[in-house]
Parts: sequence; structure tokens; C-alpha cells
Amino acid sequence: MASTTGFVQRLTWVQTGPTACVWVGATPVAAEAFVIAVGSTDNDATVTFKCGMVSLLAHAQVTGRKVDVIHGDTSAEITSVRLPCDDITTPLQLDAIEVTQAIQHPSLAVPLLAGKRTVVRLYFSYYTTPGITVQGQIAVRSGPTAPLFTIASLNAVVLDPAQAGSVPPKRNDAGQSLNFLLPDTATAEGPLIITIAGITNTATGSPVPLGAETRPTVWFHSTPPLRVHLVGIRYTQGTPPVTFVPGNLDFELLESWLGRAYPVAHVVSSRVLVTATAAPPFGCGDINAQIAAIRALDVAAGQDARTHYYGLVSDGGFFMRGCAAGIPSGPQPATVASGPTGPATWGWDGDGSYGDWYGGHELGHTFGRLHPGYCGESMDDRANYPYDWGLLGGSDTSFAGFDVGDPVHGLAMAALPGTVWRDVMTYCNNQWLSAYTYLGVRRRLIAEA
Amino acid sequence: MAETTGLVQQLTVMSSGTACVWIGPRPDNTELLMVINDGSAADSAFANTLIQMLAAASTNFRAVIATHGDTSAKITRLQIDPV
Repeated sequence: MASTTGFVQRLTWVQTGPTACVWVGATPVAAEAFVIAVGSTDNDATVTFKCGMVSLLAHAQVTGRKVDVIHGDTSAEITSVRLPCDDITTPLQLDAIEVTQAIQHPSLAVPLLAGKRTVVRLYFSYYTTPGITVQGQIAVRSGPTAPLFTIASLNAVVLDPAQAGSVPPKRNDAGQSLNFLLPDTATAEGPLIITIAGITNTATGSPVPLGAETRPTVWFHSTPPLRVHLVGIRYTQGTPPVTFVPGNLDFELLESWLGRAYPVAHVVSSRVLVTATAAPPFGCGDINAQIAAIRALDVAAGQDARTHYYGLVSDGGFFMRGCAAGIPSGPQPATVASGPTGPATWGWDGDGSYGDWYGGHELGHTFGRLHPGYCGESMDDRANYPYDWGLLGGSDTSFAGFDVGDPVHGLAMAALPGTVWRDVMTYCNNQWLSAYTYLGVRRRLIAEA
Repeated sequence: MAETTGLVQQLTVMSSGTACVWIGPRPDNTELLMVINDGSAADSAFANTLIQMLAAASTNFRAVIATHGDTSAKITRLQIDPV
């Protein structure tokens, strides 16, 4: 018997027989063809066995796992299939590849959006003492005949043998994965295969052999932009009178946060400053009424009717609690919202403005998102929210957030562990979008488009 | 024969070896195809494995090429190509 090892490049399943044709090899152009044919004389057990092999090959193909196919020395008929065990003689092992834009599951279950800033994270184990520090390159391709793009890692990673075999500590720390930022050209709508081009020992400059390589293929989906008009509210109060307006940083960080956390590739944003018609200390209901009137005039004058309006109120004079004018059950971009902004950290947000995540919460209401009900907010979605305490994930191997960062504003990439960070629709600290909210907002954005 | 190419946007398994599958480039641009079988052991085996392949392609966002008759929605061949 002979064995051929490689990746399933192509799989065809034909009714006649039925018969499977499978191409196994290192690349699409260096693959060998094999066959699994169900015969008319096969008994039930044999039919089940052959169909099981086809299913295994299909799963290996779509997850990018390497296979061994066993066949006769002079025959292309497959007699068994196995997923090879890790080569434990190779100290450096690839534990997993995660492709993330804001929130992701290790199975890559969250759809990736075309044009959105995307980070590929490689998790490694090193099983020999002492550990090593590595950097590397990946190669990506959008089709079998498309050119390969090679991308260097953004960082080097120290591999501690004491942490070998454990992914969560590496997943929960952006500095413990080897990170690659995909260029815009690699995130166009359609497929992308990711392969590891090389791993290098930073101390010696030598290539390091890698075991347990996988080659995931991901798909970038088209998505509508988030259209938002930010209305800065000017008000004057005190003796002597002092005028308060949101700062540029408040606007910029809200736009940045929405682009990083929301399920969009682009935030189409515009800004205006207006004077509050209500006397301070006004409420968000007063501001929402004013903004709704402004929006109606703007839309009548040609503003895109899909644009959400959000009011920003500086907390310099007083704190205006935020709210949305409603929580529409269907597409209703005319629903406006407003909220406070300022430099306070709330104990966890040190970027200089809390108006970003606060705005993300109130705008979430305008996309129909309800309060999960875990940190003092109303329990409107308690029955549906998937994780206790409003967490992003149920365990360290579940959904986890990732902030891809914003170099313009000096914001570094950051891992947001799903067992620490909470959904933006809660009133908890450490807010980000859960997959539940991310996909809900995405569905509504598509419905509004 | 005709070919329909794209992502498995939706998959509904009706009963053993029977399913409806929507294939296309985007959720709002799909073609509805069927997995059905004539009850024979061979055709049932083909259909059940076909559903597993479609499910794997769907959950991993992988494009498929489904072959069917020019005037029939029954899938007679499924291919997953390399990227």
C-alpha cells in the first residue's frame, strides 16, 4: 500500500456510482488524483465506510487540514483516510489560526467583512526547553491562479515551553500571538487562503520547522457601510457663562470605535455643531427631539435616508444621560439617539473619550438592540442573550473580542478576552460588541440598505 | 447540464437524504436547488454525503459548484475547488 499526504485541493462528488474524485497535494497545481467509488455490489457497511471517507475529506478540505490517503501502489482508489497526528518530533507546533476583525470564534464562525481591517493571529506551542522567540511570514492568495502575497508578522513572539499546548493564554494577549495585518487588497469580496510561508528564530535568523500546519480558507463578505451624522450639541451655562461643546477627539474616537467594533468596513460620517434649543440641564429626550427635527429637514434636502443621527453632549457643564428615541423592531434609521462624552475613564477606558463606546451603545438601540440585563440595565433581552453576565463568550475557547487598533490615534491592537469583556448593550465595564450584537447589527444594516 | 456556483447561503434538511439549498454569491442572489433521492441505497448514500458536504461548505464559507439538469433543481454533482 502507498500513502499520499497533502491538502485536499479539489473534491468532486458525482451521483453516478456515486463516486468521489479527490485531488491531494501541496498546492492546486501539484496534486494527485484519487477516487472513491461506491459499487453496486457494496454492502451497507462498505457504502457507509466509503461515504464516511468522502465526508472526512470534505471537512479536511474546508478546514484546511492535512490528510493521508492510503491507496494501492499502482491504484488511485482510496482504501482509507486519516488526519495525521501532530509530528511530535517537531518542537514548534501550530496550535491554531484565528482571523479576526472585531469578534471571532476559534472555528472562524463570525463572517469576515470585505474591506474591514483584518488581523491574522497564529498561536504556537514550543515543546523544547529553552523556549525561543520567533517571527514569521504568511502567504495569502485569492484563487488558485492568483498571485501569492507574502506578509511579514507585526511582532515577534516569545514561546515559553511551560505554555505549550494551551491556546487561551495566547489568545487573551495580543503580544503572545504572531500577528499579521492583511493589506486592503487581500480583503476584497471573495475567498482567501492563508498559508505559512516561514517561521524564523529571531536569535539565529534560522528558519524553524513547523508541525501541524493548517491552511484555512476564509471568505470576505460584502457589507454596507455605517452612515452616521454626528451632531455636536453646544450649550452655555453658569455665571459667568461658559460654553461647552464636544472636542474633536470625541468625534474622532467615536468614528474610530464604530469602525473597529461595528460590523462595517467603512463609517461614512459627517459632523455638525448646533446650539441646544433646550436650556441646560436638558435631557436626552430634548436633544433627540431636536436632532430628529434636524434629520427630517436634512433628509428632505437630500441627505441619505439610511443615515443614523447621533448627538454628542459634552459633560463639561453637566452629565446628560444618553438614550435612543426608540428601539425599532425593523429597519428605521430615522430613530435618533444622543449621549454624553468626555475624558473620564469609567475605570477601564483610557483612550481620552468615553463617548465612543457610549455612542456605540445608544446607536445599537437605533439598530434594534436591546439591553441584555446584567449590570443594572433593563432585562429586555435576558432570555435571548447567549452568555451569562453579558460576557462576549462562554469560555476561553469561545468567542473573543479583538481591537484591531487605530494607529492614527495611537491605539494599539488588543485582545479582549470573552470571559472578561461584556457586550456593548449592557451597562457593564469593558464594553465591546458580542457576536450576538455584531451579527444583529449586521442583519439590520443589510435590511436598511 | 447547468452549473450553479457560490456560497451555500442557506441549507434546510427536510428528512434523511432530502434538503433544500440556496447557492449564490450573496444572500440576496441565490438559486434554490434540491437534494433528493430515489430511495435506493446508492442514491441515498449520495444524497446524505452531499448534505454533509454542503453543510461543511456552508459553515466554513466555502464556495461550491453544483451541477443539475437544465430544467431540474436536483443536484447530481458537487465540487469544491481550490483557492
